[in-house]
Amino acid sequence: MADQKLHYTLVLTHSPAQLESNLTAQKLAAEILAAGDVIDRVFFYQDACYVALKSQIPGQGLEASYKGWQELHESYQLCLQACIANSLRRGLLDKVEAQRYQSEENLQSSFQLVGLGELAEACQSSDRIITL
Amino acid sequence: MTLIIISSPPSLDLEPIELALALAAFEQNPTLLLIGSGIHYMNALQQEKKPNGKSPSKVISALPMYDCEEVFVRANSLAEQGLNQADLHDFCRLISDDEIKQLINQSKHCVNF
Repeated sequence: MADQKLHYTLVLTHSPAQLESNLTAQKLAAEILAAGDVIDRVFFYQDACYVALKSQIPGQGLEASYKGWQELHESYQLCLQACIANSLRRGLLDKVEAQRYQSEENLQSSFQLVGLGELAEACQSSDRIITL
Repeated sequence: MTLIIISSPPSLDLEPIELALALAAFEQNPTLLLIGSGIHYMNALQQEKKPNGKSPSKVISALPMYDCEEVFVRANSLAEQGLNQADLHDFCRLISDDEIKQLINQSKHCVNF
């Protein structure tokens, strides 16, 4: 029997510090997953890469911009991908890149750095791409 | 076909254009639609936006060479943004609002910047 679930890719492009699109996307992702549909990946592009910055210190009583994604990743194994070129430009480094550039790792561990080929794959395989 | 719609002014690193080039490299047949302040991406006289940065004009003029040949500019945005067709790269095609609706309807995906 064919898979009747819708497959989504979410693409985020805005800084979590400036717009509420990051929080909107987290709520949307939670609803999609709770409905039983599939999110192939959440792709962080341009200033949305800052969502994955591990060293952010939110104000008292507030949550880091990656917190909601981290919970969805842990609950649903949600795939969180940040564009590697955009991330490096903004100083976000995973362990491998930190070693390459002799710097400190600062990418939150739920996220991975990937190339734009992943988004090309999304255009081919996902039923819906939603840009926020 | 994936439609990349750009309505924001040119960014320092041309990241929306990088996505178009990447999709073309993966044979995804991207089509570009520039509207509003996004049409300034297609201004052929753009200079480097930061020291030692890429020349936007050179990068964008390479789009057809990378099989990203469908580049549309909303006709009504030209006057709004103070540009003339002669200011744009010659491979850009002007498109009416009715044609934009058709273009969006024909696209499998739309990615917005």
